[in-house]
Amino acid sequence: MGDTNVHAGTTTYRIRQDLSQNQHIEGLPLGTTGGILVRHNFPLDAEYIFQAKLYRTNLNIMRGLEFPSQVEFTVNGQRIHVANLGGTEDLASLFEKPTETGDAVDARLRVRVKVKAGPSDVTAAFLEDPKVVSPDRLQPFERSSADNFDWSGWPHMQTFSITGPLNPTGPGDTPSRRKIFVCRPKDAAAETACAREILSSLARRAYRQSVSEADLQRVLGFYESGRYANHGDGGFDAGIELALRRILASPKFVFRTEIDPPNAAPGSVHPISDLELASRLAFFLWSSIPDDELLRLAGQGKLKNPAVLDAQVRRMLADPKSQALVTNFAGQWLQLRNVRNVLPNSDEFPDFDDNLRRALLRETELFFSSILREDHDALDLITADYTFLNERLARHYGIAGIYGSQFRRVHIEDDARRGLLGQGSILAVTSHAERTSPVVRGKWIMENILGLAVAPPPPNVPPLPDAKPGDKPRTMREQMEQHRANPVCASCHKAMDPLGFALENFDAVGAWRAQDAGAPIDASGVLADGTTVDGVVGLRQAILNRPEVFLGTVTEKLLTYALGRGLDYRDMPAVRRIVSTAGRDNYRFSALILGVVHSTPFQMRTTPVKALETAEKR
Amino acid sequence: MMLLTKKAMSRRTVLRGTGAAVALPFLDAMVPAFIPQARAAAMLALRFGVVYVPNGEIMQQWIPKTVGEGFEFTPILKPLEPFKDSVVLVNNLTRSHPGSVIGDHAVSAAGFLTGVWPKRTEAEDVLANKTIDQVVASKIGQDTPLPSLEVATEDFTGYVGACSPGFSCAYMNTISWRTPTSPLPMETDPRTVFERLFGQAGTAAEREARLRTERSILDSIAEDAHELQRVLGPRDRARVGDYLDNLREIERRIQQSEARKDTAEVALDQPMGVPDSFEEHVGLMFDLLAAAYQANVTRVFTFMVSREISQRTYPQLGLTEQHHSVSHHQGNADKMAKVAKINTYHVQLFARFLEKLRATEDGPGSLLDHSLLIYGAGMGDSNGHATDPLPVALISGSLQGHRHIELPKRTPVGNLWRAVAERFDTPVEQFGDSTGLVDDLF
Repeated sequence: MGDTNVHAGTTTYRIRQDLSQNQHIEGLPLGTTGGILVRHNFPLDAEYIFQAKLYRTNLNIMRGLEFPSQVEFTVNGQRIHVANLGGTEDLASLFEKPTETGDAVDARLRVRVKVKAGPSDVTAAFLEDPKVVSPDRLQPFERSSADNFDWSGWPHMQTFSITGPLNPTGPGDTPSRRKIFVCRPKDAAAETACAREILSSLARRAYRQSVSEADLQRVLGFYESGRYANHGDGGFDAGIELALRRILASPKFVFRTEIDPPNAAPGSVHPISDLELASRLAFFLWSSIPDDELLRLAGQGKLKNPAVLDAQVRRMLADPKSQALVTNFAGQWLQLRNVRNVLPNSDEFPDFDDNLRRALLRETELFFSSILREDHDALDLITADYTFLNERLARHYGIAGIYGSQFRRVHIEDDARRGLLGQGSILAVTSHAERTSPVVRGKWIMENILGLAVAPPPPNVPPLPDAKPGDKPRTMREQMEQHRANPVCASCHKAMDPLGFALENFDAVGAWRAQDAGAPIDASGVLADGTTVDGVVGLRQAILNRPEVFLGTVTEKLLTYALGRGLDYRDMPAVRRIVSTAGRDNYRFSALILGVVHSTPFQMRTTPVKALETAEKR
Repeated sequence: MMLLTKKAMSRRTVLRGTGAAVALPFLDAMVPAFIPQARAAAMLALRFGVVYVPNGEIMQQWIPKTVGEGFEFTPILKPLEPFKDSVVLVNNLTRSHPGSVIGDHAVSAAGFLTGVWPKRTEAEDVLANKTIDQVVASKIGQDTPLPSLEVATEDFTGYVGACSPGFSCAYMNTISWRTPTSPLPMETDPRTVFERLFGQAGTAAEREARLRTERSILDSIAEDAHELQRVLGPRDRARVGDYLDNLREIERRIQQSEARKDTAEVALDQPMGVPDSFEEHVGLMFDLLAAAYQANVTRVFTFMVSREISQRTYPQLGLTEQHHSVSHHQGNADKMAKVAKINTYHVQLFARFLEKLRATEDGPGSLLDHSLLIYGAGMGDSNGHATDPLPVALISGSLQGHRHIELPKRTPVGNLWRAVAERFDTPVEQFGDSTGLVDDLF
């Protein structure tokens, strides 16, 4: 907010240890390798200390000092610091006193500079230097750092921290200040009116409802005490800041509330108010509070007009804030949020690194985003003949001719890779650390593609027995056959496992494979409905044979997300109606979203019969 | 009316925001020393702290020649002599182990306060035991702003994979475990420690103004919440109730800090970051720990002075050797003397802390009187990664000191932790691999 009395603090950004830093990272300046890009919010025009620290092995030996290299810091593309490290002198000193040498090198990676207030892109990375090569491997792994013992090879950045503000010179001109200070009092007499204007609009947006005079008075009280603090000397900005703190701590901001009409009979159904509808829309499509336009239309009672509502939904989808729908909806539905927890066993998958992990996530986010923004048929999520790749991911998939760290749209030649089922993100989050899991993959497909609930396994199920030394290695299928042998297990597994087996050509990190444990992959199976499939292409076709199943699932997931509650049988007619209506518009994604927005569950609410019981049943 | 769970910002986030704003800024750039008469009796409760040193010790220069009272201080322990009436040495303790030396350094750190041999894994599925400091913290840490504080000097946070063959880095990066599966990260930046302990700095007037403001915001929010509660159903009312409970908790902490307003001042500047020299770094950490005890912000700490396998050199001692390398001394007298010199130096740094505690009045007595400190390591003689005897000293003005207790050979360290747990009035039946309880200590 620009209070120049704030105290300096430190923000530390960590880089994952398995990020390969011998290559360019997307978003960083060209000509650099490794490092980090952060969007940092600088609170004031002031000095800030930037400090990078490099990776050290378990013995506290800094990695990568064999050859000279350079680290560069930039703020908004402007270089603010270059430091030299490595080479004969540092190396000799490293052998003599590793801890102190590391500390001395880190001290070179520190600089104090003036930065203007506001959000800025800050980078710290190594300047590209072809001389720095891995000296001890003819054929290095993709991952540039192997373990915590190896001190040779490329230097790796470990953390990057920003400390400040120090010696502030002013609040600066930041986007948030521009938004808050919609007026500026010309003189002391105009202050109260301006504060009222600013705070009533802030409170209205934060509370997402009309603000009563009592609400406003409470907030204005804080403005006054901030304004006249320090013997009347606090200042206008300090008053607004204090009042804003008061608004953001209120339960009216923290909780989303919907109020039943007075005397509504328990169990009766009634339409939600215009303002409540504005809130539902904003949280659904933006994961945020409604903007002024939504609040204005709601205030005028126009938002429920179908044409107005359609236009607003399209406007909201076109707004960059709808990226939240991709991150949050796709993140939850497809379990993309788990990608960052994927940690394959590094003995089995020595090439797996954070660059690949990030790429896997980015591919599916870009893909989902394209379906949404280009307004495709929702079935394209399964069938699309394109995806988004960078060099790292293309190499992982065995696709030639893609160079560089930036992602681009790529036409898919190989049918196996089409749609979500060919994407490494999903194949990896449904695998174990050292192997694939047809069971987990089968369950994932049942729940997220076919919309079927899977009962939890009975208690006391032992895990698959580990192979004993000297045993002949068994394929995954051989191990899984144990499920079929036991009728209790088979009742569920005969539905789940074949779905997962169809994806067996993809290993635990989503790379293509023809063999497992020395035997050719057998990706064939009989689905619960009797369809025989062999591999991912057959599975995809089986899904497409009954498109309404997948479309119904997407719709259920969307409606669940939009309502923030689980669905039950009473919602199912609405789901079917959304799908059939969207069919008239080729199942375009926007048609599904509009269907959700116009649906009864989204537009109405039931007065709880007994609040406690109803809530618990859900 | 109905509350929806999906919201722009989680309640926790907002509360954390509010909490941060009210995070006990009762110590400013001048941290207060207490005016004795202002202290409540509760503040006299015994504190607990563990100071851990890596790479074992030269035990010949640690263990006194005689057992029982009035032992003669050995070279390594010499710096503790000024506090001899507060020192009890416990000999013949062993860390649990199945007979292998694989990953011993990791296991030393992970096995010392847990009393178990941790599960062998290089992956995330780490498993050890709730440590004694956390057992004590769950008893005496609840009415201080921080239940416990974990600090170190080398930052290895976030390391994945093995740091010692066969054992995950998690085992080596901390000596404190909240549960058998949750190692507690150790903070290495004195500035961050300061902020966690004392919040933002400021003058006394600024501090008071901040408290007043925060108090009034909380009061005013409660009005909003009560207004909401009147129109809510039981379940939703309970949710807003939780919110109010959290507010009250914050308010309680504010009251606690207001109650401390009548505290005088001690000079301790808010540190700017990690100091360049090891000695300064360790000294600053000890100063912060002493201030934390003094201000009753926490009563339990663990401090890993340096990390296992540390290769730090000690030019200030005239040594060029790296600590871990030279600790494999192969019986070479010259190397052993050098390791002993490092061992002694660590004890010296610790003794400065003791001096500070002794000089700080704490009601009728000093902080040293009202603290129980453990100084020790999870490794005996490091040449062969000996698991016993471990170097362990107890320091407290409350002890009947200047004693050297010789236990039966290979007594599990868990037996000592059982005794400590009992001392803090939170007895446990079993601590790790304990076979009994060290008695005659307290």
